This record gives sequence, structure tokens and C-alpha cells, in this order.
Amino acid sequence: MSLISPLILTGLLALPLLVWLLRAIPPRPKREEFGGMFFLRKLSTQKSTPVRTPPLILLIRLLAFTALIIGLAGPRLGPEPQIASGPLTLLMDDGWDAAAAWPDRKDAARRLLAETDGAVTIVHGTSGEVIGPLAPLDAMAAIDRMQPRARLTDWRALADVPELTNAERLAYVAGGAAPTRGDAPDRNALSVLRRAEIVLPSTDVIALGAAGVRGDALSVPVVRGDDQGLATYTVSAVTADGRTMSSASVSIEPGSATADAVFRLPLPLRNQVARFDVDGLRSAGATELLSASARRTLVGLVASGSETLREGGFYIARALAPTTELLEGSILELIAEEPGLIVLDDVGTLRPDDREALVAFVSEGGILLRFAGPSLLNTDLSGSDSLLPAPLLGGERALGGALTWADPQRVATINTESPVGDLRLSEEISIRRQVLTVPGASAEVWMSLADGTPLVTARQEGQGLVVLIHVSAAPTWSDFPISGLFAQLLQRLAALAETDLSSTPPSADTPLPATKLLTGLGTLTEPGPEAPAYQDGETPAPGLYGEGASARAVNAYDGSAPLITLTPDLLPRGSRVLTFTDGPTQDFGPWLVTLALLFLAVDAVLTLMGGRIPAAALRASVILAAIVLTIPTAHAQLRPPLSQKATEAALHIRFAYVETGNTQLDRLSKAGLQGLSKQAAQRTALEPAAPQGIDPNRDELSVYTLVYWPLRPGQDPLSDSALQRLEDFMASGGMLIIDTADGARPGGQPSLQGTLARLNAPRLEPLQADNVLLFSFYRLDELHGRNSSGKVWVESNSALDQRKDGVPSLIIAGRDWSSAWALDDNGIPLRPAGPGGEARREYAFRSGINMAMVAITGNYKADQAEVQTMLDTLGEDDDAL
Amino acid sequence: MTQGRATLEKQASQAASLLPELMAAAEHAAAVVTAGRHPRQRAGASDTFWQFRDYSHGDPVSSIDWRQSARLDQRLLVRQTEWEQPQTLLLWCDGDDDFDYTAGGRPRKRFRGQVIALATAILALRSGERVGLWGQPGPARAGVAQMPALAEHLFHQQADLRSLPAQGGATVLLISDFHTEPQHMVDAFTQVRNARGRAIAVVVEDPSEAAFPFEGSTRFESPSGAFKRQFGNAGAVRETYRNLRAAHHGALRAAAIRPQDAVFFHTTDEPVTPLLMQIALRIEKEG
Repeated sequence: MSLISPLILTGLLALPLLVWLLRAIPPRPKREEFGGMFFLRKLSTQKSTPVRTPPLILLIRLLAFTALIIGLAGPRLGPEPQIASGPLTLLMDDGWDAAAAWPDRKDAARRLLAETDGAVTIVHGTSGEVIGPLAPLDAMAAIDRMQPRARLTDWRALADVPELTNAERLAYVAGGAAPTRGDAPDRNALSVLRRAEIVLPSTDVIALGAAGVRGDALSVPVVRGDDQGLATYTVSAVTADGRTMSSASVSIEPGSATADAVFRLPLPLRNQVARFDVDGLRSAGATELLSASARRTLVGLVASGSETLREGGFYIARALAPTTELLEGSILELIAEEPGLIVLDDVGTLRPDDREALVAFVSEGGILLRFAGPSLLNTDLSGSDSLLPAPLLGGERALGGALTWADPQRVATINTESPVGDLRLSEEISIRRQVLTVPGASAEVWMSLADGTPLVTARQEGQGLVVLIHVSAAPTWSDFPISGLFAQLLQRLAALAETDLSSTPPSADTPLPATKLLTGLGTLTEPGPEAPAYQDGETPAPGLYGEGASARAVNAYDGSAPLITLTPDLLPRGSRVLTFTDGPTQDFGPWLVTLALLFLAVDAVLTLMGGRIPAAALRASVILAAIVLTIPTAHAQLRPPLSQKATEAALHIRFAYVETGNTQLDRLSKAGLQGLSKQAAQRTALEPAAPQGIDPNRDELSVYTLVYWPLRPGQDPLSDSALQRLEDFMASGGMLIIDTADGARPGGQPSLQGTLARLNAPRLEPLQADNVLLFSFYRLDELHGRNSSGKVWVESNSALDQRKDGVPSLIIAGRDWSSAWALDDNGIPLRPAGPGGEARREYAFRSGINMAMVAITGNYKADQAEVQTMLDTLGEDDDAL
Repeated sequence: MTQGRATLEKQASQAASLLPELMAAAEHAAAVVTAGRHPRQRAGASDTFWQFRDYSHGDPVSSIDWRQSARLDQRLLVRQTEWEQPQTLLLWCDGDDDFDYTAGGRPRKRFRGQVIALATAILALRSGERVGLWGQPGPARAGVAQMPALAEHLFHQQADLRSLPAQGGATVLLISDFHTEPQHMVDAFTQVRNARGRAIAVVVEDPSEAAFPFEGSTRFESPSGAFKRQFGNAGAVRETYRNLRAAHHGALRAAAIRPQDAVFFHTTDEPVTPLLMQIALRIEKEG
């Protein structure tokens, strides 16, 4: 318990004076209007006899006065802030380790500044940049402007900053990660913190290590700075346009500092993964970028041709093309490209240098896939061949031919212990010819025929794998190449062959320009013109560099150095740890002043009642006093009052549009929604009031059902808080329509991409033909707009939340609806209707009405589609009864 | 203002509409209901048959009742009607600052006074009397149709009691709180008496003026705020105040020295109807 200004307490000495004054001064006369003034005027003036202040009022006034004085003296509980004078040097960690709790770091810095009255010098932790000396208020502003950066504190640079070494008083707001040397914390680097006051974060440092491929799964290690206790994190695999592809939960066991998040995704989906994020943690370290080139397996194909249906290369290329980069060429050419998988289609004799290169390729971890065929059989099969899983018998086995009496065999079993064990056999594949291995050979059999003869054999060779398919790649020997299993098998092999994602980026011959740079908060931004390019031998800023196959991703945390949390025991002698976690100081001053005011209010009520205090009033004042005395334990939770605008919006259904700040665009949005409202009122029972423009930063969104957001290139991106509010709007059952008006595939627009990367959008899918949006009022084949190219993306049906009545919360398209809908006050269209003329506009209106209907009725309309079925079912029940 | 007048009229109509019902129960109901016809028992100008008499020289030929004359031999009868004389009722309702006083949700004194005046006027007009405002230029008129004009004039009536001209033979209804020197009212009564009229005064007051329920340090103000008076202890002056008021009322009461004159005391918390009945009875009584 302490007092801010104890001197005010001397005011209590005035209490006796107050008592005397209150007794001496009569209460103020009541004012009475009176109709008998005629008589009163005749009365002689009598000397006013003073009336004593009633004792209760006296008591209440004294209490009020006492509470006021003590309240003004500022009593409080809790730790006392100490105002330190003299210059302060503030070392502010702005690395990504501070980003996770960046507002807390800033608050800590502000508290330090608030307790300082000298000049402040701010040193940036990541760069050693020095700002100041500044006045405390300017320093506050400088702290406000600081943003975390996608790197860690540069202790080596800090050691040379004279402002730090010569600091009179040094404070350090730590990010959380300690400097390391080898596997251990680097105490020497911390020696600059001698005599420093240090604010440590309360949370652990979390980072994502280098992502890699483990078999058929992507895995990314979650690394933490200490190994105490059990921690659980959720890691999301996110695509380039910001969709969350998959999430995995990771638990780090006590005593362990890292655990892998494993994503088992089909290869086409896996290839779309562009980054990993730790959910709920906004930090460059907790973001792992994948470069485009790392995500597709490079496959080399050696075949006699791949143009016609009679050539095996055709089938191989078709099977692999969706998920891999396929190169064709000679063996030596291909190996120079460092593929993960080489497919030899019926290659028999290998030249010695080819053979040597292939052996080296396989032993270094490559996968060699060979197909049987006439050429293979033509070679000398007598010796053992390291590029075959097992020695082969000469000549093929023919089944079901004109001169054979055996029927064609079926593919019967898949070895469940093999890497292809989880493929399912769902069709009859007949095999008419095959090659056979020498009996007793020790190859792994992955698939075999009904009679037990192998169809696919494999052998581990060095770090790699040699796989033989015992039929030809063209469907002459079997139906295998035209079966679905064939494609699955090849894609699985391609997935197995995927190069490790974290392999150090290959050398770049030419500098690669930066395409995106990572901020400290883990978001990608457009690089400035002076952003350095990616060059060999330099540590570039984290981000994405280059394009196409040569694209590189540089991550903030590469997993090479361990991550160690800065703990008090690592700090040098003489430093002092400030903790702000011991609760804010409780200031009782305002409560006491409030109490005084309440006493005065009671006094006023009593005085108004003319000093005659009825029993009820006495009781009321006692109760009031009791309430007042219990107030300090209660926390008022006042809802902010609804704005006038929100009240209006809540009273009538109305559409809203996001104000972009571009006057022309806003006017168009407004006219568009006005037109839609008008048409809806004419045609349907829905009669919306005039549309409103909203600023998602400020306005209450929950009162709207449908928000239209025109998103154009070059628009200022919405703030994070605005996006958060839009997310809440969607989560509470609202429908957000994002219209890029470009007609193209929405993924193509940078502003949309940037938005989706930050918006927690639901899972989207292209508009399906059975979507309720297509029959909620009109039956439509498509949600037409002013243009009808590109796809309409809506929240996927499976993700719809029935608690929100199944309203799709997000629709993204480039249909330019507002232009099609825009009508002026007289109902005259403002813009040409686009190709198709007025019929196009009509369809745009129908689309808009359908969307509005779904936004308002939700699954009611979807259920209507099932009414006939439901009635039929009911009818049957009736018959049964 | 219009609304005020409408309310005033309405209130007056309401008070008056209650009246016949009460009259029926009252002793002189018949007299009240037929009020307004005051046969003079002399031949005069009216429709009511009074008598036949023989034609004498000078009577207009048109006055001969030929039908009656035909029944008699050699006589001509002249039909005479009775002379009926309607009364004239003059209203005065005004007062100074105190008259606008109201308290405790009761009606304003002035308003109550106007209600009484108009209700009386309605009764009188229904009875066929002529009603006018004292001090108002123009003659008193008969007929219910002049009610709105009367109400409006009453609303604006601003006339000093002392400066009013006497009007012969009229019944004068004076309504005020008479928070003036009692001599003013006595003078008015004398003036009416000298003009062979009748005077009826209604003293309208608020109950709190009678009770004076004030305690403690109080500053009294007149309704317009023109007069202020402060007392350290209002309770202490209560007795003196009551004595003054009682003496004042006594002086007012003494103004009605003739039996046909009357002074009524009315407080705003009382119903209007009994007072109206009293006034109506007074007016009805033949002077």
C-alpha cells in the first residue's frame, strides 16, 4: 500500500473546520412557489432562525470529504513504479523471436519509458541501429513505429555499439532467443548486458525447422527453445493463395526440444503447399517457406518415344505429368539435371558410362524404375545386374495366347509392407506376358499375380532403389499401363523420389531477384526496389527469390543452429531481471473519489427531500452504501453502445459494402447494391433498406447479413484488425462476397492473394452444379455477372457450418457484379451490361437475388430441394400405417 | 393558445354536462331546467299567450284575433302575449400574479376560475339568458353559438375590477382569488348594487394556501417570480399567516350585504359541480 501524493492527506486536518462550517451555515433555503404572496408580503420580516444541519447529512458529508481527500492522495496496492532519472539506453529486440508477443514487448518497452524522465536512446537488436537520444515521449512514438524483422538479434554487431557498452543505464527488452555458439548458448555475447535491466518474455520461443520429406509425407520440425513440460502446437500447411491445406497437431514431450509435424497429402495437394505456419503464432520463425522448385519431383524418362499410343513412354508420361516435372533425354543428360527418379522404358543394354552414372545415381538415393520389354530380354541376362532387382530368366512368359493353354493372369496381391502397400486394387488387370526372375532371388516383391509370380519387384541399392515392372510400359503385354493402379504406382514412386525439401538451395549462377520478403510477423510483402538479390555466399533476407524452377525460399530459421530460450541463468552477473508479471498496481484513488461522489449524491437526494428522511430513504441509502462498498471487487463490463449506423442497420435488413476509399468504386458498389435491393424488393419478399458502406475497421459488422467487397489491384490492404472483424462476421453467419471484377481465376490477383494470405478463409471450392446458390430463388446454371469468365469460389459444401444455417460465408469471383447491378435512382443502368446485353444484366440480378436469398434464409432453401423426397417418405410412412 | 382554449371549453362543457344530472336530484331541479323563462305576468313581446282583451282605439288591426272575435257578438278581442325579460349575466374572471399559482398537480387557480365562469355561461345560455363579459365592449348576447367567442374573450380578459363600468340590472359573476384589498371587491359590489344588479363572487384558492404546509428555511416566490420573500423558519409564521387570511376572507364575506348577493369560497381540490349548482340557484332566484 502506498500513496502517490501523501501530502494531500494533510487536507484531513481541515475536517474539524468542515464540521464547524457545516454547523454554522444553515442549509440553503428551499425555494417554494406560492400563491399566497399577498398575505406573506404583509408579514413583517422575522429574523431567520438558523436550522441545524441534520446529523445524518453531516455524517455523509464528512465521509464524502474524507473519501475525496484519501482518494486524491492516490492510495494503491502492488509494486511501485520507480521513476528513474538520467539517460536510458533501451536495447529493443526486434527479431522474429519477439514477434510472437510483439504487443507485449512494446508494452514492456513503454513501461520502461514511462518510468524514465531522462533522454532515451533506442538500439535495434537485429541491426544495431541507434536512434536517439530522444525525449521519452518521442521514444514512445519510435517504439510504436518499430516492427519485428525476420531475423534474430545480431549479438556480434551489438558488441560493437558504443551506446551499449558505455550506457549509463541499460534496459533490454528481450525477444526470447539466446545467442548460440555451436549447440550451447553463447554467454560471451551476452556480456554486453552487464548491469542491464532485462525484461524477459513469459512465453517460449517457437520456430519451424527445415521441412523435409519422409517417405510419402511432408514433415516439418517444430522447435522450441527449452525442453520443459509438454507443449502442443498446431501446424498448418498453407497454399500460395492462403488456403489452409491441412493442419497437424504436434506435441513436444517433456525433455525434448523438437517434434515433427507430419502431413500425409496426395502428391498434387502436397505440391501446392507453399508454407507452414504455427497456428496462433505470428512470427517469421514460426513460418517455413517452401520454394516452388523443391516441391515437384524431377523425373527423367528414357524411352524410345512418347508420342503415340503404341509407345510405352506415352503411358509413363501421362501417369507422371500431373505431379512431376518430366524430362526426356539420354541417361547422361538426365543425370546432370539431378532428377529424383529415372524411368527406363525397356532399355536393355546400357553403355558403360551410362551404367556407371546410373549406379552412382542409385547409390546416392535416386530411384531407378525399369520396365520390361523385348529389348530387356534381348540383353545378356546371365550375370547379376546391379541395376535390376533380381536376375531375370531369359525369355518371357506368355499367358493366354493362341498357342498357350494358360489363361491370362490377374494382378492379385499388393505387398502391404512395401511402400506401395496402401494402394488399393479395385479393377481386374490381366497380364498376358511377363518376365520372370530367377527362382530364389532376394528381391522385394511389391505386387504379384494370382499365381504368385511377381509383377513389381524392387531392391534397395545403396541409398536408392531399383524397381522393375515385369511388363512393358505399352499395353501390349498387359492391361496394366491403362489401369488406374499404374498411375498411382508411378506417382507413389515419384513421391518417394522427392528430393529433400530442405536441401541447401543449389548454387545460383546469376543473382535471383527477390519476389517476396518475409516480415518479422511471418507475412510476405512485396520487396522494395533496393531489396538485395539472392547470390551465392551471402545470407539473404528471408523470403522468396527467383521464379520458376530456379525459385528459392530462404527461411528465417533454418534449423542449423539450436534454438535456446533466454533464461535468467544465462544472463551475465550484474544484470537484473524485471518482471512485469506480478500484476498491475491496483490504484484505489478513482474508487475512493467515486465513493465520495456517491456520498455527495446521497446527500443531494436527502437534501432534496428537505431533511425529512423517511425510513425508506434511510434504507435505500444504506443499501446504496453497501453496493458502493462492494464495487471495487466488481468489474464493470460495459458494452460499447451501438452506433447510430449499426442501430439503423439492425432495424432493417440491408446490404453493405466495404468502403475501399476509392470514391468512384464506392459509388459503384453503392449503386450496385441499390440496384440489387430494388430488384429484390420488386421480385421477392425480401425488401432491403438502402445499402450502407462500412469500414471494417470501425463499424459493427454483426448487424449485416451480406457484405460486398470489391477488391481491385492497387487497393490499400485492409488492416489485420479489419480482417479479424471480417472473419468474425463470417463466423457469425454473414456472407462476404469478394469481387475482383477481373474475370480471371481469382488466385491470379496479387491483392486478393495478399488478402487471403492473411484472412482465415474457410475452405473454398469452385461453385458446384448442385450448390444452393444456383436454386435458392431462380434456377441458374451459373452465377453470372458482367463477365462470366473464371470460376466462382464458394465455401465448400463440406465445410458449411450448420450452426450458421449453412450460409456460405465467403464467395470469391471476378464477376464484376456491382457494375451489372448498378442502377441510378430512376432505375436506369449506370454501366453497359457487358456481352449478352440486357439478358446478361437480368442474369446478374438473378444471381444477386439468389446470393441474397441464401444469405438470409440459409439452409432453408437447401432443404427445399429435398421437400419432394421428404414428402414421399412421409407418404410411405402413412401408407405403412 | 388554441389548445388551451379548446381544453378550457372542453372542461367547461364537461363540468356543465355533468350538471343536469345533479340538478335532477336537487331540490330545485325543475326551476333550473326551465330557467331562463321569467314570465313577468304582464303583457309583453313574446310568443306566450297572456290574455284577450277588448279592442280599444289605437290597437293595430293586425293584433285583433278574428277567430275569437267571431265567437262573440259585436266584440273585437285583441290577443296579448306575455312580456318575457331575459336576464343578462356578466362574467369577470381575473386576478394578479397569485392567481396563476398551482401546486401538487392541482389545476391552476386561474384555469379553475375560467372553468367556473364558462360553465355558468353555458348554463345561462342554454336557459336563454344573455351572457357577456364585464368590461367587454358590445352587448351581452344570447344563444349557445357564442360560446367559443366567449371562451376566447374570457381567456384574454384583462380588466381591473375597479375600472369596470356598471351595467344596469345585470347579474355579475366575479371570479378571482381576490388577493387584493377587500375594499376593491366591496366597491365592485356597491357599484353593481347601485346599478340595480346582483353580484356573485367566487373566491378560488389553492388548498396549500389554506394549509400553509411549509417548514424550515424557505424562500417563497410568486408564480411569475415577481415577489420573493424568505423566512428562516416557515413554520413559525404559519399562525400569523392564517390569521391574516382569515381576516381577509371575513372582509370579503362582508361585501355581500344583500341577500341576493353572494360570496362563495372554492378551493381547486374541490369539485366544480356543487359550486355551479349554488351559482345557478343564485342566478335563478328572482331578484
